[in-house]
Amino acid sequence: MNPLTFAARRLGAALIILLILIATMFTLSHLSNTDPAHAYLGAGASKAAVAAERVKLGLNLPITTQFLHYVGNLLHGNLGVSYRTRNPVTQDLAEYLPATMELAFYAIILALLLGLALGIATAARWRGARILKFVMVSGASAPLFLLALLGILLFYGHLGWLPATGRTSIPNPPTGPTGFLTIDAILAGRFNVLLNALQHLIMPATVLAIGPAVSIGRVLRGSLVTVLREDYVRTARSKGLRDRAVLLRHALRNALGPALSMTGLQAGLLLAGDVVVEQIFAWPGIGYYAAQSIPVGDFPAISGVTLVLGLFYVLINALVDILQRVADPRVRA
Amino acid sequence: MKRHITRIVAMTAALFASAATLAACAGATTGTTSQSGSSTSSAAASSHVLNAAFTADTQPPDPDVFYAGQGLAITTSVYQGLVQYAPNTSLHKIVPDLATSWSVSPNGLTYTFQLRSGVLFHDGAPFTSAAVAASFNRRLAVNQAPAYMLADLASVATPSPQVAVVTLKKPNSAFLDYLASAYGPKMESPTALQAHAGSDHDQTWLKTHDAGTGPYFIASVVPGQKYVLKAFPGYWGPKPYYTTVNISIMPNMSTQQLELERGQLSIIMNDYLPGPAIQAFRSNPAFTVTEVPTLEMPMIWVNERSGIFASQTLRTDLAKAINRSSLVQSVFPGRATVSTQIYPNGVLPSGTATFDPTYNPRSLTTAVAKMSNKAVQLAYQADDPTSKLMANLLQAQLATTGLQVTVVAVPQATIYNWPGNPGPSLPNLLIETNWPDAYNPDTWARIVMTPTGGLNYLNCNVPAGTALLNAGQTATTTNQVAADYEKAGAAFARSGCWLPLANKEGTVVTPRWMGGISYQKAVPHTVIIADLHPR
Repeated sequence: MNPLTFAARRLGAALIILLILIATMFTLSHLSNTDPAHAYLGAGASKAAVAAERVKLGLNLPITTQFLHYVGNLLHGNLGVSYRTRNPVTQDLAEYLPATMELAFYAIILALLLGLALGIATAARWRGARILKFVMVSGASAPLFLLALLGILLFYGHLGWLPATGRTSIPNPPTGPTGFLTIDAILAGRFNVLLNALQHLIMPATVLAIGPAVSIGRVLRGSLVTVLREDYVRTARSKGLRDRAVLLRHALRNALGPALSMTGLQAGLLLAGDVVVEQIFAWPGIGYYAAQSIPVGDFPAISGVTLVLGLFYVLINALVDILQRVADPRVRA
Repeated sequence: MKRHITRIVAMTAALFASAATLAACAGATTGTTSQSGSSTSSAAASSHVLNAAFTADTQPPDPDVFYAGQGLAITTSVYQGLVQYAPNTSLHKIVPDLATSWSVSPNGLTYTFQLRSGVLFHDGAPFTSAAVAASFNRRLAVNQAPAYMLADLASVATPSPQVAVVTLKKPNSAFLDYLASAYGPKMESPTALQAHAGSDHDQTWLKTHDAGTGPYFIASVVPGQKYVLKAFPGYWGPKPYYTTVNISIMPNMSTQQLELERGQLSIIMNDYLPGPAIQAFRSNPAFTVTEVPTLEMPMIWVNERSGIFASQTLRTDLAKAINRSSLVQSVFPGRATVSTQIYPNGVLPSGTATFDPTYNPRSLTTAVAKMSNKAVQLAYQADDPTSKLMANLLQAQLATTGLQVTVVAVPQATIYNWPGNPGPSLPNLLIETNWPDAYNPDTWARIVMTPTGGLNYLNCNVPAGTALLNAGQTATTTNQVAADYEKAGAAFARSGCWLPLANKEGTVVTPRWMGGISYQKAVPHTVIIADLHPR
């Protein structure tokens, strides 16, 4: 298929998915029988005050009208105003999103490196493979909150090596231009902030990365084991190629497809796990923002976060598809 | 191949070694406070920086908007009203704050306040009667939930800079309590309000700034992360020991617990520590656990509109079948007493408006035995572990009477949709903890027990109680007010629609060296930060 046609199809599918996502969210929020106007005003607000606020927020309008208003505003880049923070949701997302992106970025890198290492190491016949397999199964089974709490207890509470909360403990860190504290610190020449930010990143990023790393590693291992039995690998070995060359130049490239697909899937799942991790590590990202917004039925905030996460999920999967085409010429056929 | 695999494993190990090195470097900076407990304690004890935490970001700390819990630590440190509740007492006593004295006309319509001189707002403007008018007017203009406290306001006259005369449209016996409430009208600088009014009566500006007269001002706000308060040098009262107060947002209480243990936090005053953690701090000699009185009241709402509790007799039997003493002891050991009145503790003198059924499940057991449908749905607020625990224990207690109780977790925003929307989908019982806005029966019963109340979750209607409450609100003599509120409370208690469980205290945990823990009763989260200091 023509690459442009492929990209256009992917984009069209992504837009349809996002629209369905918004409609589903909207329907669910209205089926849940919540009263965000009451939550907006506070617990003791009188019925009269709540009724007046419902009118102000447009919550008294028919659901279809509310949906059309929402989509119309969305097309103008307006995600509404958060009932909880009372700020425009776009402003809130701009505030919280960089923290999540930075955490997810380092977690994905870590997951990829660990996944590759685990996959390659366990695909081979050597003494440590069984132990590594055990670690993989255990890692995949451990819930995120447990890993996070154990990490805090051990590395913060017991050993005192790592900080437990936040992005940095240094006052007045740089706030731009990228929103990635590690990069902004370098740009501002504040290397103490860089070091401190990396220290704060280690635990949450590792906790987030362990699950995806194990999944990537398991898929890569399965794929490698299959590929290493192929005739062309035997041929390559019989030609006298070294094991390293056979593995990296021939087997790994052909085995990467499923692992890359799994990386895309795991990146999406990682963003879902991000909500738990951000809560426990007090990481001021959109997962934390969403977790605070859900109990009070803050639909604009929840939908804004869902939309952003949905967008990333779709984009990541599209990117994985493209990378697969690059990595494995058979996919192009 | 083996050699290659070994190399990959070695490279992965190197990656983790790098992380460990970084972590070790981190230890050099983050671990200083924990490596040596005594030096940490002495350093923290002599510091003029107080570190505290909220479990969630709060509503904007704008006194005319704020109507929540934890953020009171900010609003009550930054703003002051004309009057306040006497600190460190469970007695209902209103004392001066920015007004030094006041008088009320015999018809209950006119309140004349003598104002304190020498008071400065945080923008440097002097506090005068003009601020009373501006602050009251703003509250009405903003028209958010706390605006109801000034609904009866007719005018504010300013005959002199130190005198303000407030006139009401009709008498309101709760008016002084409204003014003393933590959610009551606070004094805001007219010059600041004018300078930053924008198109929303300063609401945007007051999300991150303040216009108060309190011992602290809001120095900075990082949304969702941190509030920093600084001591106001021009404060008219005693200067606080802590010149900087950092309030971080830490959703996880286990993390907060560890941060306090390692000296990163100076105090936990948000009252969300689970029982075992409180017990652990109690048995740790390095910490002090202080219980401060509040008006918080865990309670059961009973649905009279549908299901088996439509009968008042059965509601009364239900009240008797609950072993409240056992429930309170299990959920709040050493942190609550069993309620004996329909109003929170101390709002009316003990022995009045009583609700104190003697535990006896026999009548409910007998009634349930004759029922064909024994199913009961018991709801609790989904994100409140204490309510969940209470619900589970209550389920076990009621099971012994033969009732088949199903416990359901319901999000708070869904519970908020129940008042005014009675229907078959509402549960038979709801268990939740709430508190009144002020030390006055009206601020509890009107919100929780009347048809217009926002917390009358299961829509129970007791016309006699509502009428007496209205009479008490407009009565002009102290005796008549007390009599009406007492009778109203008795009517609400008789209905069996609300079953108070406990008078709950607030738990404050501090390092042993921390002193000056004082409080203002009426609502939770009202430890007075300005009074804290090392022993």
